[in-house]
Amino acid sequence: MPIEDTPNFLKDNEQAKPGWIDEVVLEFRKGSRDILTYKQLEEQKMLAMTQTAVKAASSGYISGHVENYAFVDTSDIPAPTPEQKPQTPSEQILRHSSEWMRRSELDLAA
Amino acid sequence: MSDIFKKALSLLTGSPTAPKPLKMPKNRPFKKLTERELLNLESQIGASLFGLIPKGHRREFFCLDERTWIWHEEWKDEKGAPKATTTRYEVHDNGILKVQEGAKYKYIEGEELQNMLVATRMYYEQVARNIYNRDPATGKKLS
Repeated sequence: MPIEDTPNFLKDNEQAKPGWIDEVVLEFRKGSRDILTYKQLEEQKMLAMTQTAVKAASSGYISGHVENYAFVDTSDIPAPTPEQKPQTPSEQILRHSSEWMRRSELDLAA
Repeated sequence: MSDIFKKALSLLTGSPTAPKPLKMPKNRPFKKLTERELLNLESQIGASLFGLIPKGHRREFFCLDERTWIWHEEWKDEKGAPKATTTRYEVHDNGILKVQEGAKYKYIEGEELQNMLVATRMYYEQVARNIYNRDPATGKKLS
């Protein structure tokens, strides 16, 4: 059965629904699709990234990415609190700066 | 040429010949690696995030500092003349500014912005784990 026909496959802007499926579809570049099993995600250490992205999408923090991922068990995804605001793209990218790791390694080497 | 471009290019090219790709040391003797070498390692990961690199092209993509990301690509045109382009993505509070020499500066939006968001997230995850042996979620060293 094509993954798109599985009952829980997310459509655009749909919220993640409870329950794992066996495969996660990663479509980073348009026209390029990588289908990885859950086990492969674990082995390639991409599981945290995928969960993070789906959590963010499910919480409404990032729109437009839900179609790129499958769905996860949402039981442990916290609902946004009133004081939490969706991060801007700049804030998100700043969170993913590798500079502090590099600096810490250089400091250790000094 | 602006100072930031000079710094980025000097870190990239340093010597007249392009450095050979670094192999990851098994025991990661970071005490022997310079900032440039660490950036080269990060860039090897960054370059792989955007799919296949066209034949004959050399690509770099890395986080230069907290507010600057660099995309650099080199190739040869049909006459064999070397070509290169360096794009700087500046992280401002009000958006991500795309800076290219000879082109109008603009804030990226739409699909380009979404791709940048995903790329930086993937970059951070893979660089944290594979180069700095850190858990990207907590920032702590992995056992």
